[in-house]
Amino acid sequence: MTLRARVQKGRLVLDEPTDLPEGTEVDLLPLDPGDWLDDEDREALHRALDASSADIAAGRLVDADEVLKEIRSA
Amino acid sequence: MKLRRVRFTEGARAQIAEEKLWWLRNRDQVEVFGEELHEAVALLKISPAAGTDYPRPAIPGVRRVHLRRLSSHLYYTFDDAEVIVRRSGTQSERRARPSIHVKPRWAFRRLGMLSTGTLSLAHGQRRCARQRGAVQRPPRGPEGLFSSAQLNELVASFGEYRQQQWRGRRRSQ
Repeated sequence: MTLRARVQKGRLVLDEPTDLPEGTEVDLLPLDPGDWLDDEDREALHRALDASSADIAAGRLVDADEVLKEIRSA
Repeated sequence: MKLRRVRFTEGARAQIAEEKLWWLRNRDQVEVFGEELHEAVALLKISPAAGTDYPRPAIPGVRRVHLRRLSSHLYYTFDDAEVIVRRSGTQSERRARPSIHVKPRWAFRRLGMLSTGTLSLAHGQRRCARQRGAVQRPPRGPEGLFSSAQLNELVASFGEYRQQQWRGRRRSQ
């Protein structure tokens, strides 16, 4: 997704249509810088991604709130 | 504004639990790990399309969102109803990242420095060198580490400081 902005008086001003309420603050994300995986690590990542489909097919899914709760608990 | 449900696969959940343990053992800022994941999940709930495409033939629609302070990504797919996080790239990306390296231990010993995996000078030497303005500690990178360029600069400036000290002692003898 690309958002277009103009510089006005030294500040970036977005000029994009949105249905967000007036006054809503938005965070702008910097572009993904890429990664530094070598062939072996990328292959491992791809195997894990492919294996994740088995988790989904078997219904082995956990709500994000539960995962975040586990992270905060220690 | 539509909020999507976000869920993790069991595999992703187990991986993140493992990575959290690594983070607790190896980083001072233990809260960063949870904060980054929390922010990423919040983003995915609101705007899953904000991630960048990561094409996989077997799995259409894979995207990833960058976890800046962890130097990593979350890989996920989504539809109108929910987002499924399939994998975190934290461990392998951290291992592969080339901009971080630590000088060989002998180099630190030669300069009277101690290496603990990140970088630390012996406390008394560091304080003394800082007071004299000889060593300016650069800001750390996103993982709490110095980049190789910063490290080289720090090693050079500290080595120069030690040489000046040594010359001063020689003159006074």
